[in-house]
Amino acid sequence: MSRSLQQIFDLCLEKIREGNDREKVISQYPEYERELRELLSIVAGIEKSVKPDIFELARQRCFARMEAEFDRRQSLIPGFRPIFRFPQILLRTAAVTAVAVVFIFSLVKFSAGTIPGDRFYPLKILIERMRCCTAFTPEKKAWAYCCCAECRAAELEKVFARTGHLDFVLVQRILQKQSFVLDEFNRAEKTDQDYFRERIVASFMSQIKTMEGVLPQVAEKDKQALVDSLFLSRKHLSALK
Amino acid sequence: MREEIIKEYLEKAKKKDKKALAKLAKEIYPSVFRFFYYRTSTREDAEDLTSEVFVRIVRSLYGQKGNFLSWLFTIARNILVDYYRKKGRLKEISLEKVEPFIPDTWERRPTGLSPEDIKEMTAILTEEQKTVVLLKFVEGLSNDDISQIMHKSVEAVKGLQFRALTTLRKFYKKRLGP
Repeated sequence: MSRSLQQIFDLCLEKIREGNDREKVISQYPEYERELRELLSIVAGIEKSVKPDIFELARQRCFARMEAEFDRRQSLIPGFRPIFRFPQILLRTAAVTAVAVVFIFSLVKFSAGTIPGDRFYPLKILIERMRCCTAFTPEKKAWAYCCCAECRAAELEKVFARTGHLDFVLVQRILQKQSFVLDEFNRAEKTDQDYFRERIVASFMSQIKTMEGVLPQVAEKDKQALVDSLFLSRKHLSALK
Repeated sequence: MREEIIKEYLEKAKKKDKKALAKLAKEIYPSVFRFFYYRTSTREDAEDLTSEVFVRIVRSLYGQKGNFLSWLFTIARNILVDYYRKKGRLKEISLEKVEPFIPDTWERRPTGLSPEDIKEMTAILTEEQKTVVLLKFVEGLSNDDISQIMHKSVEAVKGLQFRALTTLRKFYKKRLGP
């Protein structure tokens, strides 16, 4: 019943919208006369209702906001077409990337001068490891390890100057890196070896010099261990030559 | 006639004609304002949401396709959903709570129903029923347009409209007595 009433009601609405008289339309369906009259009177009540007042000030404020947005978009986007938004996105991406690069670069720079125990020292080690991993040829790997050994030597000097004690962990790391250098160097092609030999030899000599510089000031009990280390380091150097 | 005027202004506004945009806004402002007025608790909220619609119109006018009024009320509806989300969903009002506000003889009132009467009367309807009733009988949109705005079939819109009016009728009968 309800379904057919709905259909008849829709029909009545259409007829009234076409300009027919409401009472005439209702009289065509006597079986639903009462329901239709009530429903259509509700519709008429809503349709004839007084519309809410519009405040001029609010309307002007709204239009001013809209026009400001219109002007803003026109100044930003010359063609007012979505395709012109693309460079803006690119620009933002470039800006974010630049900030990230500067931030990472500053961190790397800052961590370069750190010694064991500093907050950013692990970052320095991480960067060194990444450098070693991304060197894909033996001679480049050898050079990367050589740079690591040079860093440890510099750290050794700094730590000794600051604390007056010899950090044997650093000495061991220098020797370990030097042995890695030798391993990689021996795997390289002869022509590549010749190219890197001079640089690596110079670096090894500088490391030995650093350890020798520390030797006279080292406590007696540590002296022998450092001498042994120096001996090993010189052995590495002679293996290179 | 109104649709033709809107179409004309719309075409010009799309070509960056600021005056046409202003005229278009003037033409549609009352409809948008009413859409929010009957659904929000305060006039200020309705005015704020209306101005938000116009800002969004400017932002996406270039990509507008199809029926403008459907597109416009779809934007308005999305803004309203965001408003409800921020404010917390408006509570459905029970018949007993609303009853005292409905005048006995509203149909025979010489001045017609006031906006507040409509607001209170539709408060007993669900949000979808309210949308259909107001868009159809206050804004005069067709069932096709409403179906596009609500992403429903025309039959579903007719069903919602009938259920809304039946609810109002029952309420009206209860109030006036047998």
